[in-house]
Amino acid sequence: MKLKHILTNTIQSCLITGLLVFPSCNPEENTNVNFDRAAMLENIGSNIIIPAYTDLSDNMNLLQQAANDFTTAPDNLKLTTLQTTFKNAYLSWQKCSAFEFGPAMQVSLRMSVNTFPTDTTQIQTNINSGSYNLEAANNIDARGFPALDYLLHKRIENNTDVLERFTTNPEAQAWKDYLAALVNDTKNLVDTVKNSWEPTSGNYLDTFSSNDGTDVGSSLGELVNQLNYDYEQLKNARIGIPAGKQTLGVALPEKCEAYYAGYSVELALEHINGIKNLYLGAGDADGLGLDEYLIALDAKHGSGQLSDAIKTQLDLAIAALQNVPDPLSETVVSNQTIVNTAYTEIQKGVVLLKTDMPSALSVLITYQDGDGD
Amino acid sequence: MVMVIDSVKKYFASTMHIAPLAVFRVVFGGMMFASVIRFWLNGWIETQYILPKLFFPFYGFEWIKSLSETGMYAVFALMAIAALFVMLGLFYRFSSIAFFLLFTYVELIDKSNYLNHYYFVSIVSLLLVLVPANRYFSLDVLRKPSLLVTQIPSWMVDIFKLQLGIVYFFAGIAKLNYDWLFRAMPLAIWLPAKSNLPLVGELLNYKFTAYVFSWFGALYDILIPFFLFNKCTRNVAYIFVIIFHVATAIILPVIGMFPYIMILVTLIFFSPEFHKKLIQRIVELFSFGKKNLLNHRQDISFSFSRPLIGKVLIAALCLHFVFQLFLPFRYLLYPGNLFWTEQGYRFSWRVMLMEKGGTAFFYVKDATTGKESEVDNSHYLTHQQQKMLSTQPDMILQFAHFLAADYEKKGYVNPKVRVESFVTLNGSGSKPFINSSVDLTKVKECFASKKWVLPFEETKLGYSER
Repeated sequence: MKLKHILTNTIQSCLITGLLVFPSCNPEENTNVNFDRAAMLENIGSNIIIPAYTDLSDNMNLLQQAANDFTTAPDNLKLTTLQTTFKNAYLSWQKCSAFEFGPAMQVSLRMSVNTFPTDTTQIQTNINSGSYNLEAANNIDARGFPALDYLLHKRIENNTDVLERFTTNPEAQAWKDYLAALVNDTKNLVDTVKNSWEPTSGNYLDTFSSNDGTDVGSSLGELVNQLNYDYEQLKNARIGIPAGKQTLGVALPEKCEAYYAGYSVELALEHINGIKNLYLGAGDADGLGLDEYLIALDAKHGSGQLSDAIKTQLDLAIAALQNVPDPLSETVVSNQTIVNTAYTEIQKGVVLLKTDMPSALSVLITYQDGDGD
Repeated sequence: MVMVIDSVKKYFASTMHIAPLAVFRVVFGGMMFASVIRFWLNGWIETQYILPKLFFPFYGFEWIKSLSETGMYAVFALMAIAALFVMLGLFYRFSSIAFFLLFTYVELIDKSNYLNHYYFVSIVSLLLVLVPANRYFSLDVLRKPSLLVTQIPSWMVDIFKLQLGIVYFFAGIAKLNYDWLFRAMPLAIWLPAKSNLPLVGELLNYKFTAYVFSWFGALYDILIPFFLFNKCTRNVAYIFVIIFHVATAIILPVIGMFPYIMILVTLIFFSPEFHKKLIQRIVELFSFGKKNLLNHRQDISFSFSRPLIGKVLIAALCLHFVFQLFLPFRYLLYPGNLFWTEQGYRFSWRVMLMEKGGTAFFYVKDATTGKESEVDNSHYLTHQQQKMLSTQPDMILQFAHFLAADYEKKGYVNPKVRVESFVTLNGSGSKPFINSSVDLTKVKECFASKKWVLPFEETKLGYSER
């Protein structure tokens, strides 16, 4: 009886202290989180993801057309047009690469269309044999944009040498066939994913917008995870590895994205701008994005807002990257300092995007469910 | 003094009906069987014990190694069978020991899988080894009726109540910190993330809710053992147990089987009569082996084959519980903020206590060129391991030592390893975590304080910036 009495008293006094403390402890704090996750997802889906895939799909159509024109009657002018349309398509891919969930994940889009460096020996083998299945595992680095980059460009020589492959070369027809196969393969994958997203066909947009939780497998969970994965690809695959970051400072120029075309930095810039717009929720206009969500959550970094810290850091990384001249494959050898500066700024972004943001959003950086306590 | 000794003696001589222990055995064995099967079906044997290229053993247990794929599956298969046999009370002495050893072995392989509830399972399965939980309502009794016992020393049931009480109480004590009580952290981060739940979702967006949950959670954990011990309050307390654990299962991020295990094992606080009735019901429901299982004319008391065994057991258990009472406070021996350094954090029932995340970049330097390489962590570690490592200094050190050895094999001369790492704790925003100028290959793991962990800015009340 006595014990019960003591306990009752303890509870009462605790509750009273508690009630006194709640309202008074942090008057300047937000009292509630007012944010519509579903609306953010809807904005990201319909104003960023679908337009990005549509843009890519349109550019793939143009690429296919240009490739047809070129293979029918190869000449220098058509080659230049083809190269331009290829570049446009490759640039628009950069803005899609972060969306590796749902439809894209089902076809392993990122791995299928942009595994680099490409395997030129494997490509040559395929061209020689004339029979290949691009979807086979051994062709993973002989397909997609990196393979097209190799087919359509030569690093030192001029277009005459490229043209030679498709004209006077005894295997010219095989080169043309491989070119067409690569373009069709990439275009089909892109169209599959685009159609799955569109409200008029697969309507994954609806699935995406309505799965508005934060658990593993939720849209936000996948978005944040893939945004991070993709941003780390920028840091490592696009910049770090070519710059020799993992090889005692010994540069590996041939590991660059678009090594043959030589516009690696331009692609990287398009990529990081895509990441930034995804973060901001900015399509044609700035809509609800992760930044608004972080503001609603009142997430801090240092003395300021986390949302500002991330935006500022992405801008710093973009600015540093703009200072790096193309071709990156030459800059990593000739001017390591300038590449290192860009690398460091990108890396600072990793910390904010991978540590601060998921922690504030209560999203796990993981690809599998697990136990916890 | 004599009186105290007398009442202690009297306590250890007191007996009670065995039913609570038998029910506990069935419930625990059953839950463990389900947990092992769930673990298997989720593919976690592969992702946690076969795919990883390296493991993070506990300090002093580095000799524990994982087995081959077949070996690991065999371990889990045997574990499932052992759990099932514990539940059925079949070949109990062997099956209970087997379960304890197999489960504990698996948990010792890699600390990145450490969970308080796994630690709890290890302790409970060890305690179960020590008591004759198979001497009633079991296949062993059916098989060998002479094993039947109805009365056992009270302490054989009380040790489980005490252990559970310790888990709750210390989980509550751990919540008595500035962030939990006065910033509602980490619940203020976790609850709004669940605002899409039906009915209660909108409420979770309010900071007030996080405060209410925090305070209620702390009070609940601290007080519930006492209310469960007390006969008058037990029924109401158990309703709270159910509400609390179901709520945590719904609201907290990934929490797994733990709430359900706690709800069921807490049944042990109920009276022997309750458990006798429960068993009676089950027997009637299935109407099996009625006579052999329960039909006995008079009470049969348990006795040790040699009285000395009982005394040794009691002494060992006293030691265990003294240890249990001190272990959660060992962190006081370390300077700095416990949540930040995690020195003395594990094995202390600190459950769902902080929101912590980190990123770690490792660099290996070659002595001849003086140049360094950044490590691609994902080349060596699973996502789970990367996540755990990034916030736990002892794992960072283990990985650094692994890297030194691996890069030496690659041809690096006298590799030095340093780490640039950043951690955010309860919404603090990322801050440098480990002193990035320290060559971790020169640091040895030990119980001494890790001076290479940078300090978290501390205030008088704890670890908050406010």
